[in-house]
Amino acid sequence: MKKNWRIPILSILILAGLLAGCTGLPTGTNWPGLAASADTVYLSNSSNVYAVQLNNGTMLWKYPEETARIMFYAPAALDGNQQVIVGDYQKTLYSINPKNGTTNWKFTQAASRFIGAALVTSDLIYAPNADFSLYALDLTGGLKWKYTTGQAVWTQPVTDGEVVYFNSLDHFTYALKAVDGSLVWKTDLQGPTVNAPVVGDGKIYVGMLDNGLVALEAATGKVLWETPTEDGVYGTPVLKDGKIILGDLSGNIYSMDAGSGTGDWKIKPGGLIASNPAAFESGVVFTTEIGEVIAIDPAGAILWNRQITGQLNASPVVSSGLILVASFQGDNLLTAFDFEGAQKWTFNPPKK
Amino acid sequence: MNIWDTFIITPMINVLLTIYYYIGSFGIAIILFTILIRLVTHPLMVKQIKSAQAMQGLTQDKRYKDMQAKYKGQKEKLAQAQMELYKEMGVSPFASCLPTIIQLPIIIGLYQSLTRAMASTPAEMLYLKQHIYPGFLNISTLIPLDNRFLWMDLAQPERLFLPFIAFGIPVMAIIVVITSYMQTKLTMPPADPSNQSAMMTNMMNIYMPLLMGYLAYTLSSGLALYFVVSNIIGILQYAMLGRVNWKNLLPGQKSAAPVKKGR
Repeated sequence: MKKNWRIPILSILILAGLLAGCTGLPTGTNWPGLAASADTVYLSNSSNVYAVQLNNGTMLWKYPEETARIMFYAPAALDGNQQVIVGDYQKTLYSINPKNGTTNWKFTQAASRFIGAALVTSDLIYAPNADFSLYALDLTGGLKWKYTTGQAVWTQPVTDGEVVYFNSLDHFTYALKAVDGSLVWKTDLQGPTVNAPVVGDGKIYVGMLDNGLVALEAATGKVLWETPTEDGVYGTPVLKDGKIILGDLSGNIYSMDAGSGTGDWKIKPGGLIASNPAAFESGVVFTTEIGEVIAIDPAGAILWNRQITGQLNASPVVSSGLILVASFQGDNLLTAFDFEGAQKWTFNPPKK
Repeated sequence: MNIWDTFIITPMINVLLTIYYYIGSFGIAIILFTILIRLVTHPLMVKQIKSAQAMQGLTQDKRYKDMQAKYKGQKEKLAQAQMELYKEMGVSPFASCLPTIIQLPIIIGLYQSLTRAMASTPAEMLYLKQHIYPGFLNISTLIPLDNRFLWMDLAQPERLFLPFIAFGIPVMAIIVVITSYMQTKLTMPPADPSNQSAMMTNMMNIYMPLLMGYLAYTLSSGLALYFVVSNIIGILQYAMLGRVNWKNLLPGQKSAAPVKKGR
């Protein structure tokens, strides 16, 4: 009789395990989020944000220090050396002291996840949330205004100083007055986008999940041109030297003229590209789902191609002469390369 | 893409999204998809119930009870005698397990396809995009899914906030516990309370609804909706086969044999 309780409990546990298992990606999770200052990398992954020394990969602190039921995947945003702003997958936006990893303040008025990075300007923080809203806070976490769209806001806003531009999953790009959140214009993109807009040369560039790149006039939101791509554009394009450079989900990399959208060149060097490319002095670096780190020059020639383990759908960042790459389900969570493709260091969180 | 994704998850996601595409409500799509899957697996369930019923009838047979007494403490001899009786009565002890084993991947696939279709992070959205058959559904209009249904965001755990209460009420989790309890109570076969299987059944009656309630409390409300619909359909399926006894729900009632409809 003593063993009676074991069989039903075991059956229930097996059932729960089967329901949760069978596919590689645990539900409600995401790829790591990366951000970097001149001397520190901030890595959001699972239940912690890690501050890692940029020159050698040594961990400075982790947040929170003690284990807590919080999930972080959004890249951090930096307010100079004053605060690290990062949202969690519950509904809290944190300000962390970059020196020691302690909490400055918390903003808890959002209703859903912080999936995209916040944008920090000299006086405001713009934080996108999956509760369909963009929140504008002062630098101490006080709510200044919020603007609600028709769907979740997943990606970082951008600004030209006067106007804040952002994409919502409701298929619209929005332009709001940075100071008070009043609507300047909104444009129906006629399709979904999951990346952030790029602002430059009086234009807004948006990569589309249903294939293509759209350019809008920054002042009015008018569609200027659309250039098709072979597959969906998941990562935010990069604007460099008058060219828009972007990757698609089939692994194609395109260079287009930023003024007209005319195709400059197209190559297919590797696997699926879901991350944002990152510009560095000699060109642009892409990462792929099959673990490739590919650097190309402005003419589309491959400078170098490195292979590491895991999926590289998290967007790489460039800082202080290093390219930082965060891996999902790889041997190392974080890998640093120099601009010649030499691996400098790797980082894994300390085991508990 | 692995075999599990190719043959189970991807087709299910595409059927679910097709329903959503035409209905326009993801909540209704979940309900219809659950009904569809339960209809497809209904013949297997009927077979399972009938086999279980045959096994249950056999355990009430005098010869079965006699051999239990005769070979008490002699497991091997008892097993041998039982196998001979199964053969003689034309009952396979595994016949009730096989439909369950076949249904299990479908049920798990249903659960996972719901989770995947709700795509509440960029990683899940990429997974979804990769699992929509090219040319079959138009992602321009399909993504993002409208996850709102009644008062719920189907991709988030459900709480009902009322103006006069300071906290959210987990309505769906409560309904899941009630319907899970009803299903186990109504559909569990009667058993001798003195034996081990009856004790296990009673424990399952308590723990399973609580586990389902906990899952509904913590996971997305789309899954809670699926649990509720699945429980109700399960009860209806058993009722159609005359295998439920509503008196089992009354307090103080011992598990009674179901009222069998004439057939």
